Amino acid sequence: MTPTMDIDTKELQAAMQIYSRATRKDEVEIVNRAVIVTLTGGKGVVGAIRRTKKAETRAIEDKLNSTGWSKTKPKLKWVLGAKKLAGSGRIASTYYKRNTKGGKKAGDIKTNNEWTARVAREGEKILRRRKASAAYLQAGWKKALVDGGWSTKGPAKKFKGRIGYGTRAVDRGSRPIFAEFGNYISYAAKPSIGAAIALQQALKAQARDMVKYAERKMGETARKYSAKR
Amino acid sequence: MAATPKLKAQIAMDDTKFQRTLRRVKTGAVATGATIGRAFKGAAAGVASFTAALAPVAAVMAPIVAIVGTFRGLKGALDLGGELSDLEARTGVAAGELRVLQRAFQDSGVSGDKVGQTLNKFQKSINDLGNGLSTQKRAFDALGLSFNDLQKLTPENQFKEVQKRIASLEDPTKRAGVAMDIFGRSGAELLTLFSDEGALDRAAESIGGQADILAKNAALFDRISDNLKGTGDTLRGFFVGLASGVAPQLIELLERVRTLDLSRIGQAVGNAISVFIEAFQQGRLGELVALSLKVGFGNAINFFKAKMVEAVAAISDAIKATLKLDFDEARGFLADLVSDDLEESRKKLDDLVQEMLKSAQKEVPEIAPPTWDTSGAGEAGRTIGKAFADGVEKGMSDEDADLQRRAEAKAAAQFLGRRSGLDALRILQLKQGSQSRGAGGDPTSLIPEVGVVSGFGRSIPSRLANILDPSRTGLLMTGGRETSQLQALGMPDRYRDLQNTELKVKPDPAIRESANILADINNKLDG
Repeated sequence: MTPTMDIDTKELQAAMQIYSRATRKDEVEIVNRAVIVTLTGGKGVVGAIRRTKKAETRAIEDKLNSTGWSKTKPKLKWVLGAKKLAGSGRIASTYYKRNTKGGKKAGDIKTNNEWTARVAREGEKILRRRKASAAYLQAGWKKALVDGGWSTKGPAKKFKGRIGYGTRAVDRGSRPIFAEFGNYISYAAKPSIGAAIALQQALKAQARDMVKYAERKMGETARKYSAKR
Repeated sequence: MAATPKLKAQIAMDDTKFQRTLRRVKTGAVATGATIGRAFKGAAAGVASFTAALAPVAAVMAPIVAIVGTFRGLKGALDLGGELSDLEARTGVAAGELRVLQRAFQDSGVSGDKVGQTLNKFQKSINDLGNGLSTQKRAFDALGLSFNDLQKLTPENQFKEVQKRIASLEDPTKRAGVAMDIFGRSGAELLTLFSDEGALDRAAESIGGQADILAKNAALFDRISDNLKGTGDTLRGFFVGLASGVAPQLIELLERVRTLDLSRIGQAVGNAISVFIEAFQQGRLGELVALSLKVGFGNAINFFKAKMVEAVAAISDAIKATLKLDFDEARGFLADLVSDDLEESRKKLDDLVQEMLKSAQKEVPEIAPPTWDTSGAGEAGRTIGKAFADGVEKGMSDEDADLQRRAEAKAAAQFLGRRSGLDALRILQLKQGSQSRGAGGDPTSLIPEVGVVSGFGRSIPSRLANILDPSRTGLLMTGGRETSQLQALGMPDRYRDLQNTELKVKPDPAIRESANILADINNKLDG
């Protein structure tokens, strides 16, 4: 089971402190705005959704054919190997042997050519699934935006279920003000997927943007009240 | 679909935990600074020269000063034991545990003197609970504790249990309400302690073996402390007699020493430590900054280690040279002196005084009191003054390069339009962190800027004023209208460009005054 990963937001927290002093905006507004920009992006900031890239076919193939992968999932390697070497009798026959019982061929496959074509189709399917995984992660963030009331534009209809969640920041008297959002997709925290890195980068970009803005505002205020003017 | 989110982030502006840690570090830094300040005040860089030059005077005075100083520390420990013993009788809590509670209170920003009062109020609340009073019943019910539960515990465990239960309450309003119901108004002051479950454990760790020793010996310490109060007159008599013999000769020397303010060296060291600790603490905001500050902090520790070793060696040499006794032997002698039999202790003390007087006459037979030869004292005084002045000047030179960078960074902070150094710190840390990551630069190259700006709080200009030398150019002391001053100097609008800009000097009156005093002393000595 993939462990849950909490993203470090200290840098954004510090930026928000500065931003609030420069703009005098409401704390709830600042926090909610930070979530929206972090996920969807804004002027000068690329959000986490856009940063979660679809993988290149070649990258997926390389990954699946790597030594580590082949040890744990040999079958997939054969499938992909068969796709890459379409028509190769050796790969196809290996797959055939592993998937027959007592010499009886699986399903209605009669010839080696049919078998190779079947293997190639399986390989295509896997590639499509892996490429779609990035879209699935993006759908998780979109769901979180809708769940937290930050946006009305949700993920595509094909992505159903509880794939993301969000809690909007609200003023609850003496209680601390915070917003929370998360992605339920099982592989979201896997380092190889890069969703965590994308989110972290988006948070940093948002922090930098806030500081830049606050700096400009503070400079304006300082110049306004300067004794030299 | 998994039941828990795999990737999540919480965004808030609340930095309570950060501030709490910062407060604790600041308290520790102030205490450390004061301790080192006192140590340097007594030792300073010129202790060795002082003793060598003043051999005739030191032969008599140093053993007495050393013994009295050690006695003062010993008496402090005995008084503490006495105080805790009295408190133990008042509250029923063991002396060792009381010391731990005192420390925990101090760590939370509450005076240790309030332990007794707080515990008595707490015990009254438990008694009221037993009598069925509604306020106390409501408060203890909220903690899930009954009168019977509490009765089974010792007084110290009762406090610990309640502290732990209050800390586990999540709602801060409820926490404050329950604490005040049980501890009265002082409950509000103790909220810092109550919101930290591990506070008592940490206090116990920092007290270490003291707690056990005090628990075993508090009553004995109390007796000794009470009896020692009676020995003050005996000692005073000795000093009165001694002073009448050497007063005229010592007055000139003391006049000179009086004008030297060595506490500034101690203060400088204390400030530097606090700056580095704050810098380290602030480094938590970004991993890269933390990495840089680790290096900076390590350097600071090495620097102070070297300084402290020097100072301790100087003190040790001075004591050895004058007392003619091995330090361990002296310690053993003192331990022997404070024996169980108080009459015997008093007799030993009398013998010691006699022994010291004999030793002094033996060391300097040609100048036996009261016909004291002062021919060497004037020269000795000059040497001492010179040594101290050199020490002070040297201390300033060592700090100089770093201070210039700090002043520049301060100027940058002010130029960005910030009143608070903390804002500037955050901005610069964030900027430096991102720049370095982007360019893949060497993080250690950022140490001067980051480390320096981290230390700038509201009180920094006055700290700098204490240690800067106004005769040096290239330093900037910023005040209330620094923004306009910088604009008048034609400062560029980017921080990194400031490093190449020559800044003008605006000395603080305090610096000018201290520099004048030093110059005056130097002139007199040279003349």
